[in-house]
Parts: sequence; structure tokens; C-alpha cells
Amino acid sequence: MLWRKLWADTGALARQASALVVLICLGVALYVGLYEAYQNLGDAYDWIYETTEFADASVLLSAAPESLVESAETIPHVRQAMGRLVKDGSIIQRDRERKRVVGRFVGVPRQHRPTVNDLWVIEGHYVADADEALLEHQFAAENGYHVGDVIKCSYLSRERDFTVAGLVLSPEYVYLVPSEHSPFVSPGTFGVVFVEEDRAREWLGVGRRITEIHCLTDAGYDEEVLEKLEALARPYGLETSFVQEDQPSKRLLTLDQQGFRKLSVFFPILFLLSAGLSLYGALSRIVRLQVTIIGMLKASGFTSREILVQYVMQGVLIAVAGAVPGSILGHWLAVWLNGMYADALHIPIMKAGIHWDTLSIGFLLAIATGFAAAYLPARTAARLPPAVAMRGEMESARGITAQRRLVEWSRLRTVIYLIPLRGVFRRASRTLLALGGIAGGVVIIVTTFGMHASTMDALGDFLAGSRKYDIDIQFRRPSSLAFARSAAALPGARAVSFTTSIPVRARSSWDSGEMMLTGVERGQHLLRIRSQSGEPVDVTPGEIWIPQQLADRLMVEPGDPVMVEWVESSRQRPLRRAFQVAGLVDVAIGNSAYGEFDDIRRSFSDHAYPESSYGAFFACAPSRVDAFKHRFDESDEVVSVSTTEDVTEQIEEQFALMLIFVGVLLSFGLVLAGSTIHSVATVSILERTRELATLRSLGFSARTTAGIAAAELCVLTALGLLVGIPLGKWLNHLYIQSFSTESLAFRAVLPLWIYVATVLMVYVLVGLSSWGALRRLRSMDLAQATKAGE
Amino acid sequence: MQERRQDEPDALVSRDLWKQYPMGDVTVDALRGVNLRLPAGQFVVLLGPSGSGKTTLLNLAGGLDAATKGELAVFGRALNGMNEAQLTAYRRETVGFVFQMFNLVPTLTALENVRLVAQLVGTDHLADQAIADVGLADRAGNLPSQLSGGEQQRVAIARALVKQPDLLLADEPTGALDFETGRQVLSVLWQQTRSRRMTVIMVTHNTILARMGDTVVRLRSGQVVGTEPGEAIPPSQITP
Repeated sequence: MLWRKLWADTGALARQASALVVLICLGVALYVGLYEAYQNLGDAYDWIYETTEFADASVLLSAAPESLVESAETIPHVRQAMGRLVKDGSIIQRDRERKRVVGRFVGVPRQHRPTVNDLWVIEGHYVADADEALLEHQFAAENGYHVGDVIKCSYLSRERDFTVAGLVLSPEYVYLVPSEHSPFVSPGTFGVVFVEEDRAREWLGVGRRITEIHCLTDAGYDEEVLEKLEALARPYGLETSFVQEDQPSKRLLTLDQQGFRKLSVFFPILFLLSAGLSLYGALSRIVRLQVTIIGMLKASGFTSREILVQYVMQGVLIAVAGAVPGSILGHWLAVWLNGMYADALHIPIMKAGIHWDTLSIGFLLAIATGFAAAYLPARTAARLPPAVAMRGEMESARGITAQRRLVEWSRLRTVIYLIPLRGVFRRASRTLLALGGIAGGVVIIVTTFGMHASTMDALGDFLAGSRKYDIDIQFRRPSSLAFARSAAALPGARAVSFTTSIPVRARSSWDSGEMMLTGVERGQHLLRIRSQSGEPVDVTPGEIWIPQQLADRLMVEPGDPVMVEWVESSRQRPLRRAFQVAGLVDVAIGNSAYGEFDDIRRSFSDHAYPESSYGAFFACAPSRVDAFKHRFDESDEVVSVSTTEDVTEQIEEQFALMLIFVGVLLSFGLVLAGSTIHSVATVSILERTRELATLRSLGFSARTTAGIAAAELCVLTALGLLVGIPLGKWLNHLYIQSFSTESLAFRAVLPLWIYVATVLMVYVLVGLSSWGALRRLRSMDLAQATKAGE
Repeated sequence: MQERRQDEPDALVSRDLWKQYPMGDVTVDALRGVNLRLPAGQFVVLLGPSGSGKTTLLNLAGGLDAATKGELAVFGRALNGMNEAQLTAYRRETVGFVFQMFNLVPTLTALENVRLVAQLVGTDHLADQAIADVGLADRAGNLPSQLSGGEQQRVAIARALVKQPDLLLADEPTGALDFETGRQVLSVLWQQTRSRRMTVIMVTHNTILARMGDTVVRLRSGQVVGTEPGEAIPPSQITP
């Protein structure tokens, strides 16, 4: 019979129960959706890496004889070793929008597929002829290359045409980046061309030498093998080395995945907490309404345990009702998100399996939420003495004392104002519930907006905040700087400033970390470098400005010395130079440190200059940007040219995916905040039907009565905002911080508009939520309502 | 009972008063053509079993509900056709309510519950006296949850009286109280309304308590089945 009552009670609360089911459903859907999407991504990447025999350990060196590969194969636990030739040059595209872009040329065998770092041919066929090449598919898609097209490649002014035999996916470029120092490279401006290796040797002019060795190792021996590989490569100019996990593309993908995982835990927890609070509020109200029934049941012989189980089951029932559609919805969400992700990153395959572990956890989380939310009201119901309950009393002695104190604390001449004021604190559990609900909604809105604001801040800072030039040019050799200087004298040109950028490792006595060291001219104003306090700073020889993240890692402060090594030096020993830390710079994207141009040039770049080490920032009249770009594009002195507009487009493209997530979360967050606030608003009005109806019977107008209810809700909302905004700010800070890496430092930015928007949105939600309830107040049946239970 | 002027309008006049409630597919007739004339200044008892329509009649008289058809006037003011604002003004200026479940605002003290209404009608200066009149001067600062049922109902009476209404409506005011406490509450009600020449309509199904009325109106199945003079015995003298 108790079970029949359970069903009947749940059915009688159909509207409120439906809202709670929706909340639980959204929480579970978000968890399952995001977590499955994260798992699917992982599965897809793992599949790619496994099928393509992605290297476990790799070394990049200046040049070494091919026989070094045989030595590598003798290292214990090496299953397979492969050597190859890789050089950076440029791809010339006279008939395309981007005339000259950075090209990476990789030699691959013709007789067989690469034994390590194999390629997955998406379209066309593997190289069968020396004049054929394979093109990385993202670059091909961005620049409109198809199988059969001809691509013109240039290395040190030696140009070669290749016929595109196939479009391929490489495990090394799933996330298309040339190095970990350049996390934002559009597929349109960096292309990887796989060339038949004999032709590559002849064209690149290095003979039978290799620049990279990649190994497959036995499981768990990658670090050990890498150490031995480094020892082998060191005499041949070891430039860099990494195990699979540290490979730049994979590392960035892993960071992306981790971001996904954080999203998939953080937001669903907020959702389920809010859903739990709402459920707790609704069940507390049910218990209050049914207090005499509870008394009757206990008087009739039902045990406290049976009463407890009955009310707990009510919460669990609602949770299950939400968890089932939530799991299905979540799975669809995962498939959709993966599709968006695959499109954005041009990943040709995506796994979309059902992850039963995630579904089970989502289901269990929902049930745990239902159980936890129902337990306290159920325990209250179970513990009610039957005699007290049958009189309809629930107020505890402690509650009465608290109300007594409230009366002493709040005295006003006009009694009507006391009702909303004291109503806010009339019952601690109700006040906490309402505050929790509203604060939860506020937290979701603040953190979601915060994510968006921080992303846009990083973007704005990187683009508009620091870049005051129109064109960024990378040169083939130092002497090309003269070309830029001559261009600066042309009509329409405003300024030119030289730069040099090289990847370095900075060491302190505590730790070391990699960074991109950029030399800029003293007094230049085309690249604005700002200190942590936002002040523009200038560079001085002997000093470098480093980003906060690196300073934290190295545990150095302004004035401390740091040793800077150029790890890609072709010398047998890395070039070293001690610098003093001039100060900390505010860098949102990238991991750049800044020094004086001539100082950096003399210390590092001039000793052995790889392509793209020298460049210039160029400012000109807006109308002349295209003309200058074209002029630079046509020059053999130039490796790549990008306008600020190009870079903006590229970065916005990279951020587009994040903005989609923010949009999805904001939509979910608003629904949740709306549901929570709706629940709080509705309950706070409905549970006082008799009191408000009595006021109307006594002669208060409907408007005054509604005003009392609305005023109380507004005070509660204000308190909820007071709690929710600092909490949201703190959580936002934690959340944004968790995304920061050495090359991507998001600031937890909460501009004024977020506070204003949050307050407005919450009050609009409160207004909309209470509007229906207040309308019902106006048209309520006073005769019935004055007899209603409270 | 004090004499009233000949030209003073009757407290309540109803003609062919009907009240119907839809209940699912059927319509229930709560009142079926009630014709009633109650003179002013009397303590009237509406007596009848459950479902006889007495509370419905009280609610119509208090402007809490609207008649389906027929006419109803209180002190010469027709309630039919009054809009919401007029009904609110009517409830504020003319009627005082005493509910079965007291209906006090739980967050206000006894005195504040009385002052709430006193401030609404501009009789704030009478609030302390009103609470004293019902014998609760020493409990004025207590919250409803700190008062017994009888004390709460006395606060409700003070709240109704402080308005100095022309008509006081009491719906089973002792329904939630034991007989002795109920009798004490009714004594307060009886004394306070007598001394002010106030018209009282009290609903009860208790024939013993009905003896306190000047007039007893018997209802059954939504119809008036008899109007007779009551014994007007003070509640303190009524024995079970």
C-alpha cells in the first residue's frame, strides 16, 4: 500500500517532479555527453596511433649517417627503428590565396610504407614515383589541393614540382603544429609534404643523411630507449628528443582531451548539485504537506524505517526517471560533439561507441543525487513522533528559538515590511535551499560567461592588445632583413621592426623550461610587450622578460639570473648565455620571452641560422596591406607572410570549437539556473498559499500580497547573488587556472558586464519564474486557499 | 442585546442565492436558492451538518467567493458584480474573519499580527488594547508557534476586532480546539462583539454552541431549513 502511495504522491506532483526529472536528465546528459565525447576522442586517437605505429621515442638531430639507424636498432627494447630526412622550407602557391606558406618536407620510402609513423592514405595512393608526393590532408583541404594537382615546393631557393599522389593523415600531425612553441598554426599556413626519399635527398642536398630517428619500443621502455637514443644522436647535433607523450601534436591533443575531461566533470557536478538541492526542497515540502499523513501512518503501525524508505524512494524514482533519458540524450550529445570536433580538427575518423562505464557512472551519480537529496527530508519524516505529526506540527524547539531571535533582531514600525524580511529567514532549511539554488544558478552563469570572457581576453590580448603591426614576415636568411628595410621606404609603409625567434631552454638552479625567445628592437612599438601590471616595457641587452608561468616554474624573480640554451643548435654543444630576468610579462597565448634583438641575434641566431629565425614586423596604411603582402609573397627572401587579419582568422578558427562548447554549456547552464530558480520561486510562493490568501482575506490587495511574495524572493535572490557571485568568481578562477599550460595562460577574467548580465539574468529568471505563481495568487480561490495546508 | 435604529439596513440579505461548483463532470450545488434576512447587531449562528453549505454562505458573505446566481447584500451593499478592487475594499472596511485554523502569519508576533491589520485600516493605536481585550497582553511578544491553539485563536479574534468591522465572520472558530478552550475563546468573542454592537455570523455544526446565538439559521443540503431565535446564552454558561 505504501508503494501505491509513493506512485500516487509522485504523480500528484507531476509538474514539479517533471522539472526535477529534467534537471537530473540534463546533469546526466551533460556528464555522459562530455565524458563519452572525451572517451571517444581518446579511442579515435589511440586507434590512429596504434594503426600507424606512432613512434614511442624520437630524436631530431642536425644530420647523421643512415647507419645510425642500425645502431638504434641494437638498443635493448627497440622493436623497430626508422631514420628519415626532414627539412623546413616553403610551399609556393602563386595561383592560390596564400602565395607562400611554411612547408615541412619529409622523406618517405617508395618500396614500402614507413615502418614507424606510417601514413593513413585518406584519398589517392601511396607514393609510387619520385615526382609524386603525399600531402597532409588538413593543409590540402584548406588550400584546395586534390589528388593529381601539382604542388611547388622550395628549399633554399631550389624549387621542385610534385604531383599529389594522395592525401594522408599522419600521427605526428593529427593536431597540426610544427612545434610545441607554435600552438596556433592554421592548416592553411603550414603544410607537410611527404616526398619520395631518394628525390628528397637529391633535392634537399644532404646526401645519404638523416635528420630524425623514430623508434617503436617494448611497452614501458620508452624513456630508457630515449636516453640511449639521445646518447647516440648527441655527436650528430641532437636538437630535441621526446617520447610519444611529449610529441608536440600529441601533447596538444592530450591537453585538449584533458580540457574536455575537466568540462565533463565540473559542469555536470554543478548541475547535479543544483538538481539535488531542488529535489531536496521539493521533498521537504512534500513532507511538510504530508505531516499529518505521516503521523497517521506511524500511528497505524508503519515503522520509521518503512517511512524513511518510502520518501527516499521518491527521490530515487525521480532520479531514475531523469537518468534514463539523460543517458540516451548524453550519448547523442557525445556523437554530436565528436562530429563538431572532428570537423574542426579535420579528423577523418571518430569512434562513437557506447561507453557502458560512463553510462553506469552517470546513472549511479543520478541515483546518488536522488538518494542524498531525499535522505534528509525522509529522515525528518521518519523521526516525527506520531502524536506531534498528527497535529500537523513540525517546528522543532531549535527552529522556534531561531525565529524568536529573528523577531528580536528585526523590528520595523510598519509591520507589513516585516513579512518579506522575516520570511527570508523563516526556516533555516528553506533559506539555505533557496540560497543554494540561486547561488548554484549564479555560479553556473558566472563560470560559463567567465570561460567565454577568458577565452576572448586571451584572444584579444594576443591579437589586438600586443600586435600593432599589419604584416609578420619570416625570412629565409639574416641578409633578408635588408629587403624589409628597403620595403619600409616604399610609399604607404609606416614602420618596420626586426625580430628573431628561436626555441630555447631556460634554466635556474631549481628547474628548467622551454620557451620561444624573441628578440625585438629597442624602442620599437609594433609589438607591445606589457609587464604584469599592464605597463608597456622595453628590452635591454643582457636582460630578458619572461612569462609568469615560466618564472613560477623556474622559481625566479626579477633580477635573478637564468641560463638560456639554444637546444636546436647544430653545434655539438648547446649554445648558452646567462641573462638577468628583467621582469615578468603578461602573455596570454604562447610561451614567449623577450630580449633585445641584437643581443639575441649575436648570442644565438647568428651562429647557425635555420630558416624562419629572422623576421620583421611591418606596419603600413590599411589600404596597402594586400599590396605589400603580395610583394613579400613574391620574394624569394621570404619564407612566409601573414597579415594580422590572417592570424586573427586562424586563431578564431582554433577558438571556434571552444566557443561552441561555451555556447552549449551556457545554454545548459541557463536552463539549469532557470529550473533551479523557478523551483525556488515556485516553492517559496506555493508553500505560503494559506498565509498569502489570509492576507487577502484580511483586506490586502492582490498587488500588495504579490508584492510581499515578490519582495521576499528579491531579497532571497540578492542574498543568493551575494553568495553566488564570489563563489562563482572563485570557482571560475580555479577552473580557468586548471586550463593554463606553459604555452597557453588563460586569465580568469570577469569584466563588469558579466556581473551586470548575471544579476539581470537571475532577476529576469526570478521574475519569469515567479510571474506564473504570482498570477495564480491573483486568481486564487480564497475560500479554499485559507484552508490549505502549509 | 442592544436596540438598533429602525432605518439601519439589515446586516445580510440574500435572495435566491445559488452557488455551484464543478467537480469533474458533475456540478455540485453548495447553495440552492437561499433566501435570508439577518438584522444588524446580532450574533447569528449558521448551524448544519457537513456539506450543508454554511461555510459557502459565510465565504460569499465575506467576499471570498462569488455566487453563481441570486443576490446578496451586506449592510445594503450588493456584493454581486463587485470587481476585485471593490471586493478587497469591502473585505478591508466591512468584514473581519476568524478562521478555524487561526491563519496567523507565523513570522509575526501576536501583537504584530494584530498591528498588521490595524495599520492597514488606520487603527494602529487600538492594537495594544485589542490584544489586551482578548487577555493576551503578557503574551503579545510571542510568536504563534509559542502560543497554544486557544491563544492563537484569541489573537485571531483581536486581529479581526481591531479593524472595528461591521460584520465579523467566524468559520468553526473552535473546530481545532477542545471544548473548554473553545468555550473560553467564544466567551472572548461573545463579550467583545456584544459590547461593540457588532454583527457576528458564526458557522458551527455543534448544537450546544449554537445556544449562544441571538438567531440560529439551520441549513441542510444547501438550503435554509429554518431561522429561529437563539437562546443568547453567554458561552461561559453553556455546559456540554
